[in-house]
Amino acid sequence: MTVSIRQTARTSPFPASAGIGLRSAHVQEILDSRPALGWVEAHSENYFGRGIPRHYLERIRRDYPVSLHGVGLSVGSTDALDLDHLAALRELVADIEPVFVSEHLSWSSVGGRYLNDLLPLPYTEEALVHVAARVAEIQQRLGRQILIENISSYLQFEASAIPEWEFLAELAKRSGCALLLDVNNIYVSASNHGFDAHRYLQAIPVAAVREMHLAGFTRKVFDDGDILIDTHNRRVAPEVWRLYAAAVARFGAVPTLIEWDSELPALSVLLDEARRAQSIMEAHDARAA
Amino acid sequence: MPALRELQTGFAAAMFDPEAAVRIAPGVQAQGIESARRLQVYRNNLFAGLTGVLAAVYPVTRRLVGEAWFDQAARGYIAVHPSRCGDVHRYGDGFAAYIGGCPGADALPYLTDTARLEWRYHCAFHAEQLPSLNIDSLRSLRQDDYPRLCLKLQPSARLLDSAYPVLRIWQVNQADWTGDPSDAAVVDLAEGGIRLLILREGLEVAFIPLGRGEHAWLQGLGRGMNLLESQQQAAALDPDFDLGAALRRHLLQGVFSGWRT
Repeated sequence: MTVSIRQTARTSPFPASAGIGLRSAHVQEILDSRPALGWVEAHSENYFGRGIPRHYLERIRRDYPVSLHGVGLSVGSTDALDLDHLAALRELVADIEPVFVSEHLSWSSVGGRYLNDLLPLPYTEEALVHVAARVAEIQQRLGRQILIENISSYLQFEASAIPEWEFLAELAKRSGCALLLDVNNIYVSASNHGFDAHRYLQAIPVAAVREMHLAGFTRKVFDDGDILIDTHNRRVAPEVWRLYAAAVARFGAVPTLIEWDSELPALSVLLDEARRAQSIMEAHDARAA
Repeated sequence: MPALRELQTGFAAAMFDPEAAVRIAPGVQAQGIESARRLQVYRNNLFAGLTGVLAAVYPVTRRLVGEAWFDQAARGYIAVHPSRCGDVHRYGDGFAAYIGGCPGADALPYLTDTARLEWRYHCAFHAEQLPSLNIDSLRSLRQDDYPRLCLKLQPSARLLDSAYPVLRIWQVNQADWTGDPSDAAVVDLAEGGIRLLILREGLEVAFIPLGRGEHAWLQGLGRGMNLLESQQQAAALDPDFDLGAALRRHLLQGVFSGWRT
């Protein structure tokens, strides 16, 4: 019985449905209650090395499609690509057979020192050439296309000469990668840097977008202004739901993930957020039909 | 140096060094909020993120010293021990030794060893479990091959030798510990030390108390010694060390994953 479920999950086309980020605190409840949920996304590095967490991810995989979302590959770094990290990811991909493998448009290490954060790049032609080559190499070594996600940023470099949306579109074109649009990150960065989030959406090629992310942010108030921080510790903000509806109107219903990484609520809260994303997709499909 | 490399190098330095932050600030757009504040957001994220990583690996240590002391020690550790890996689960080796040298740590003499226990537990939790070496697979060995036999320990196997009852300390500080709460306050340090094998067993991590000779023997095997060398190391510390009994016990326990001669 278990085997047939696994095969069904792997051979059926991946639906444009809502999923949630998999957190270890929720794993047992998901396995026990098998909630109606399109898919789950797991942070790749949490499952490197075939430890105890891998066992649970493999069990989850029998019941749900899984996507693998990396936070540590340091795609935009000028250091050499970490081939051990990539080999660990490749092994995980072979085991889990994810629907998507995604990484970030960011860097997190230089000179062998890791800052373990998603750091912004200067949007220059030099960086574009570099990142496009890196993404192409990653795809070649993994033997599959990856998705690249836009990050939230709290600063912009003076050196930047290309808007982020153009950089992302051009990266997809040059490297052949697909895109994971994080709608919350677009909202956060638009607010932090004063650009128009809708203009961002309009500049992204429709065919490149395979997945969207939604999460909650935190507003940090300073004397000289506010900075929105991508904290993943609360419900999706109303403004972000509105932007998501605009994104669905442009890109259609694509698999959408609710991310919640700290101050974790009950599983039911995540499922509730996922249902809301699902209903926005369904409303779009109903209009389109 | 190409501009991107230079920018990344300068940014990374700015996370740890205020003067480096001053140097790169002109390269950051101010836009209402000053560059220094924007860089500070990243510095906070970095330190809070890795402090969270350490807190997840060392929950008992954190409980013993309190959150404020732990978080301050973590900041100090992060500042001088940069992460070297994109997989944060590999960060924090050496934190046990570091906190032992922090001001006030001498009030808790068992602190470093408790943290060492937690690191080993963490490593075993994330390690692969290979099929255990089957006793039958050794039957092809001739009697005179035995001294040269090298046994490979499971990837999860870790050893600990402490002068303090650190397993007891670890147990009474678990969130789901259901024993007499007053016991938690009266772990008797005079109970003495403990030697442990920490080993993944399926979906659990087991703590297996070891005799002095057994510990030295497994330590020798783990370092690549053959059966004769490791037995000599064990016997030097424990004249009663029984190689046959130790070999049987740990084969049955699944401690070994392979052998060579």
